[in-house]
Amino acid sequence: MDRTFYIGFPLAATVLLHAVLIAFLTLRWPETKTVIAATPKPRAIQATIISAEQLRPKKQPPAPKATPKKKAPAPKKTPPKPKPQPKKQAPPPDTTVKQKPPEPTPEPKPEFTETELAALTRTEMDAVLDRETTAAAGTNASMTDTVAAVIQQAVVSRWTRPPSARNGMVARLEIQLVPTGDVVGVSVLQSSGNTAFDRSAISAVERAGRFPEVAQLKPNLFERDFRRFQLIFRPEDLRY
Amino acid sequence: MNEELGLIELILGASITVQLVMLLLVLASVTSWYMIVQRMILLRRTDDALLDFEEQFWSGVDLAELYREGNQAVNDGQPPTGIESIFRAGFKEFSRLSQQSDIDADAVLEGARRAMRVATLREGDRLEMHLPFLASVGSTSPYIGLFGTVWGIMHSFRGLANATQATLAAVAPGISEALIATAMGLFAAIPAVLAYNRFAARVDGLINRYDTFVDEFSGILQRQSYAVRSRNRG
Repeated sequence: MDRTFYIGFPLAATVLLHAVLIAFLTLRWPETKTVIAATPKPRAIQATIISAEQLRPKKQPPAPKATPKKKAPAPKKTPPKPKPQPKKQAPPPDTTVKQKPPEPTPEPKPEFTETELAALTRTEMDAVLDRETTAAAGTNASMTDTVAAVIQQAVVSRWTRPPSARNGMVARLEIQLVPTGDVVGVSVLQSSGNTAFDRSAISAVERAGRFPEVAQLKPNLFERDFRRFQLIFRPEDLRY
Repeated sequence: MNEELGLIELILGASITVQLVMLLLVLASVTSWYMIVQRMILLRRTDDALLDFEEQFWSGVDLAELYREGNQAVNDGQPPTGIESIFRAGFKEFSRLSQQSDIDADAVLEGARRAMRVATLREGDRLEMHLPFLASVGSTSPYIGLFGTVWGIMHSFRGLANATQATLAAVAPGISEALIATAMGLFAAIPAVLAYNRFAARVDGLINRYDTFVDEFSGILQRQSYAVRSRNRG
């Protein structure tokens, strides 16, 4: 009995301790987090152009994404391009978000001033997003998508690109959030090669500062998708 | 940047030397924890036994009675440990010597003290067993881990020499996996050092109390031996 106590018990305790440690380390090993997919970039185009003169010509095409950019250099390619892109890159809820704003905007255009128009577009967007949020509340995936869209919109609306920005530049940022939605860290994962451009992207995130929508997410969703995530910035709509 | 570096992949991807170092450190950690838990149990039991025995000893029970009680356990195949072994060694030697009428009281007492001192030393050895191992793990495993890390970093930089473009991504995984070895070394060393210091202090405390007991007990024996002699003379 003594023998089992002096040998068996310490052995069991030792093995247990190490097993728990290894399990803890392997399960909680920090992972590099999901990239918020290609979705961010089309929105970048929309919001940066939102000043009204630009808005008019650009809102007309049904797929607002890459069209403006592709149109300027090569008009021939326009019909095939926009179609595959929404399908590939945007999950179903996002497509609806994107397709809705263009419908109302063309109508009020003649009567409204620039600022009114911009305000209208924004409220429209918000309304659509709200509807989205409530509709999607059931499923985790669409919840995540909605919050991603909100974050993206918030960042993009504060993004002012430097004059040195060129088509084809890509900056990839990693953003760290805490569960309240506050941004606690921004770092450049992949530089665009242009410091001014990188800095503008960072300061857009810093100016956004806080994404209150994140606080409504379930903790496990937050840990999975928003504790660390990546944002891609590219100035797709530039004409030069 | 999308590939995730899990802990397991890092360890499996390490070079053979680093893996050996890690294995060594895991063994050291397992063994030292085994000994830590074992020593912990042993010291707690010895402490309890000492308290129990002292209480019994000073309760005014007849010492011969106490010795006979212990006999039973010895016949059952359980050798006495701790304070009891010291008491038994001293008492046995005392009664054996005092049965011989031609030995004077001082010599009897001296014999009993010597027997108890031997028993105390043996007890100390038993308590301190494995402590040197803990000390070695505590002092060497950081170095072993460091060796693994240095080796791993050397390895990953050598790989960098062949690459035309030096990127951080080329060396980072290698350094990361190499650093695991240091982490493991520290993980093995810290508990070992803490446990060693703690156990060494406790063993010292126990041996001090044994010494005190030996002195007290020899005081009692001295009184008894002179009483016996004077009764024999008278």
